[in-house]
Amino acid sequence: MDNTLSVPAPKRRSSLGKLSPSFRVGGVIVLLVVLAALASLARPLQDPNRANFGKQFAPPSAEFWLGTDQLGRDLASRLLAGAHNALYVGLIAVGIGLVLGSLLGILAGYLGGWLDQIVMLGLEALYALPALLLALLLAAVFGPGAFSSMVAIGVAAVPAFARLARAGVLAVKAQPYVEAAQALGATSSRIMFRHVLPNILGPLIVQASLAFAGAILAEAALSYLGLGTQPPTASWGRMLREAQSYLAAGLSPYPSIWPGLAIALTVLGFNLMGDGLRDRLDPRAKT
Amino acid sequence: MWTYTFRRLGLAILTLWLASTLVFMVVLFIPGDPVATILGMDANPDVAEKLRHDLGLDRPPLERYFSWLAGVATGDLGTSIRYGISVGGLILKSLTLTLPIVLLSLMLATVIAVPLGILAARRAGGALDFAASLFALLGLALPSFWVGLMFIYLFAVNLGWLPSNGFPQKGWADPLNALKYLALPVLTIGLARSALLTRMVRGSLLEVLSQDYVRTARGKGLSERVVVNKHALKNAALPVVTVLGLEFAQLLIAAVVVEQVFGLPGLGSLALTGIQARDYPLVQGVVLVLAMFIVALNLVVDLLYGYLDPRVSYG
Amino acid sequence: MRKLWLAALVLMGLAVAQNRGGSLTVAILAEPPALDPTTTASAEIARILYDNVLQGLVKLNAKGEIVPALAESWRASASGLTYTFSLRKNVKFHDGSSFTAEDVVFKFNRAKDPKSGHRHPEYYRDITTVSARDPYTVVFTLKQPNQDFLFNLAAIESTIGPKGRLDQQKTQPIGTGPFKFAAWDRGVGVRLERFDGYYDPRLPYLDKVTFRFLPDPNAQIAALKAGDIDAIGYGVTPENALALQKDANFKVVQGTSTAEITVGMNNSKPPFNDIRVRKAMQYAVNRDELLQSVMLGFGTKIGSHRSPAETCYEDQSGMYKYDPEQAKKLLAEAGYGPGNPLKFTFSLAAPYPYEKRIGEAMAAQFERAGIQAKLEVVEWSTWINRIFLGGDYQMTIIGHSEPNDIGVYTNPKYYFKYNSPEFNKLFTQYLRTNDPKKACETMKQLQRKLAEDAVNIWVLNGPFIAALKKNVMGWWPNQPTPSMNVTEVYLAK
Repeated sequence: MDNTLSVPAPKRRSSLGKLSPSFRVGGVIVLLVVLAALASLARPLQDPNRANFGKQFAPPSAEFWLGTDQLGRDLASRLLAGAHNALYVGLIAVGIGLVLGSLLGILAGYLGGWLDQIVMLGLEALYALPALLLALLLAAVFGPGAFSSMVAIGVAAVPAFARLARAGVLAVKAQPYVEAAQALGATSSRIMFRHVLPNILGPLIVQASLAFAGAILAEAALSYLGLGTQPPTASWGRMLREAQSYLAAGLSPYPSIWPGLAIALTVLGFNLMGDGLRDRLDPRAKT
Repeated sequence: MWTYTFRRLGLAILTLWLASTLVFMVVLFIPGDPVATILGMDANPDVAEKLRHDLGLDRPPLERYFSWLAGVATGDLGTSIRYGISVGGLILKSLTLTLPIVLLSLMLATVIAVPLGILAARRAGGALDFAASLFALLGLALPSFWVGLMFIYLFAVNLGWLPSNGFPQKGWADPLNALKYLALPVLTIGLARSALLTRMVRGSLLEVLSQDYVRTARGKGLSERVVVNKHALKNAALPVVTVLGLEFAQLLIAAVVVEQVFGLPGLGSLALTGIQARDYPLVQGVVLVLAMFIVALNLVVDLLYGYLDPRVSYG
Repeated sequence: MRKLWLAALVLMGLAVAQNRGGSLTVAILAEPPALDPTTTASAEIARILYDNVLQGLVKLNAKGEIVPALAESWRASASGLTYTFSLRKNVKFHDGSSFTAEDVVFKFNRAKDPKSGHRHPEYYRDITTVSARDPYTVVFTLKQPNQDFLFNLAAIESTIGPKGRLDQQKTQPIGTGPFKFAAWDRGVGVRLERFDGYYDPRLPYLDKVTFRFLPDPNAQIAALKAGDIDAIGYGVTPENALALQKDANFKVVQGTSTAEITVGMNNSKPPFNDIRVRKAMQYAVNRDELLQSVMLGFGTKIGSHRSPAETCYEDQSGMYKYDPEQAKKLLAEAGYGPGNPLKFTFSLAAPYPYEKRIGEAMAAQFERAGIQAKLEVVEWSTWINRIFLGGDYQMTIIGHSEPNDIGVYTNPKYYFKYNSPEFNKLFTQYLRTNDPKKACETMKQLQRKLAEDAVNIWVLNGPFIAALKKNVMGWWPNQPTPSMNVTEVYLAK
């Protein structure tokens, strides 16, 4: 659960069968979350930051669909604003990990030699640092905020992408058609982008989907620890942080319940999508 | 075999050195200084300067780096700025809390995951298998700190069965009481990890079950029970043991967050306090110890794997 | 009638005598880096040691009044330039040595020397000489009258240890209080034990007191409920206080502290160099709402930089009644309106959850007056370096917990960047008079002046909330100075 940034090793079999209804279920969940976040941008239910003093800790009602928090803010609106925040942070973080990681991996794998050795050793060192801890440190460097979360989570996701890309390159490199292209005098960059990249795209996309789930969990964890997204931006993790003391004091459970469910649902969606995608795209996973 | 072991060991040490250097550099870039945090609104330039000098913060980074490295080589992690005592001592003390949490969680996860995974694999595609898959998916998706919160609400606030937070003063002198305080954190982490582990056990067993010698055993007319228990399990255990080793590292990280939920003064709190107080030696120490655990476990698992599985050859 | 009173007093005394003994464990939120208040800044040192272990010539009581401690009595000359202290006789330090005028002279000669490493030499700047007339009489001569002289002598930094003992005080403080320091278990707590040689034979009632470091408020509550601790000395969160009030096993002490939760405005830079804008901000804040929502009803409204726990306090919270329309009007005069709304950055310090929540709520209130505050959370070291020391900010919020600290407004470099010759003149009048009554009047004028100039928004007095087991008696109801004073605390049987 908190290996949030590292992603489980690709498994060989989908647990839900070959036709991957998991992809469809996951896709629908992700689509719903994305649509809800977009819709709330276009036409919010209420201003997620508007305080309604005197209506704090309200239970769900017609006015406040999911109740209100300690400042009487509408939890439903904040939840949607939180979705927007989570998707945004996730997108940038995964983007950083994917681009940096694949570049490093492809270069290391294709060029080989001492460059490969150095890159792999560096990644090994990065791997020895727990991703969450690395993210904590980076968040401290850049100061608390969504920006540092993105960078921190993104950098922490680099090794997984790089390994995958490198492994893919090594496999492709040994293929006869690449050798043929080389023999025909194709340049390195041409070979990489025309022949190597398309072949490793599948596993990378699968990894991106799973990393997205990890990034959302990591953003929530960082925000929960007080190092991620800061007020007034609504973040699921920070909502939980703030709600905790009120929950423990028995004041109201609602502010603690919804953000957790939202995180779980979104992560579930991305995980299912990743699982399903793997069955479709990752040739090595075929049984 | 020996050359491999040594090479692998050398690589592990190199990795650790790189990782710790990386951390040292990252920590250098953290803005703000510990003196400001210590003195707070009382900061007086002269006093601050003296304190900075006493703490050795006015020395050039490279010099600090080498003296720190020299200390690490002799097992001295330095003195904490925030607490004024040895970092090693602080870490050891926090481990008396974090290690039991990790070990107990690992035990709980194994106790749940192994039988569940076997049952699911034996009836692959059945209702139980589907339930196990669902369980695994949930375990991956539910944020641990939220599950911890819900446990607090259920078991501490509503039912009043277990304490919600903290660790008793007597600590391990009264083990039963101490365990009561660890029950919810262990349940939180253990359940989550068991979900993942169930999936691994199931997958690993299924793979073994599809292999030739199992088919042969079945062909000989042995009962499914004997096939699974006598032949497959033994071979499926190998990857699972490997996973357990790696799992330990993941649990350490999970503990960092979950400790915060339950207000436990373990390694996680130490790391966070260190970062907030700009306590450089403390942060470096905690990260190094965590990295050491991870690298060491990777190494042990690697070596063990080779030892247990005759098919692995060392080049 | 008088006899009845006497009888009642005797009975009370008996009751307390019967409740003698026992031990008490008190939770505090943080561990001090060292235990010598003259070298280390940490309110925790005062909380643990003030009056319990370390005493000075005079001390503050629970009402914030200056009362005798090691000095039995004192006399100020008519000019206010000479103070003569008669010391208590038969006072022993915890190491068995006798307390005499020599210890006092050593202490203050060191304290007033800026090179000695004492943290606050400025407290003693006006002292020219300290001398022992005889072993039990000490005479201080001052350069000029100083109204805060006695107050500074009552500070934790002015407590007196055995002559010549310096470095050991950091880890093993020795004083003259009713409790002696027994042990400091790092990361766990500090233990005090009853001192049998205390000069007041009635005190203390308790045999042992342990201050336990529990940095997590929720863990403190759990420990209290589990019986691990007997008291949470301070800092119970409002939501936890609310829950504990419903629990018959505990009582919640709720009072005032010296903390003014202050929204600091940079008076030297736009937009807050314009008094119309600063006044508009005052009208845009609804303190009652903040108190009821964020603080769940705990805390006291204030309107200037002094706390109701202290003497010579005057409530200024009514000067600007909540009125968003008035705020808009003032802003319009200053050139702000719907087309050109007032915008600024409101910096919140990361480690203070309540100040952060108040800031968030205030930003929501500002919006109703058409004011756009952009929230920014900064880490503590950034706050200290950039905002507090560097003055690089527009608006921020923090609790000012130092007692009697209105004098900071005379420093134009202080982060509020307030510079008012009238205020400075008034403050000099206060400081240099030797008439305490007049000084008190001037102190009230000072508070009024700050409020009139709308220097900052003083939101509320940070509530002092403690939680105790039902049988713990004699806890200070307020915190006129940070102190977990257990000298007269007892356990009812």
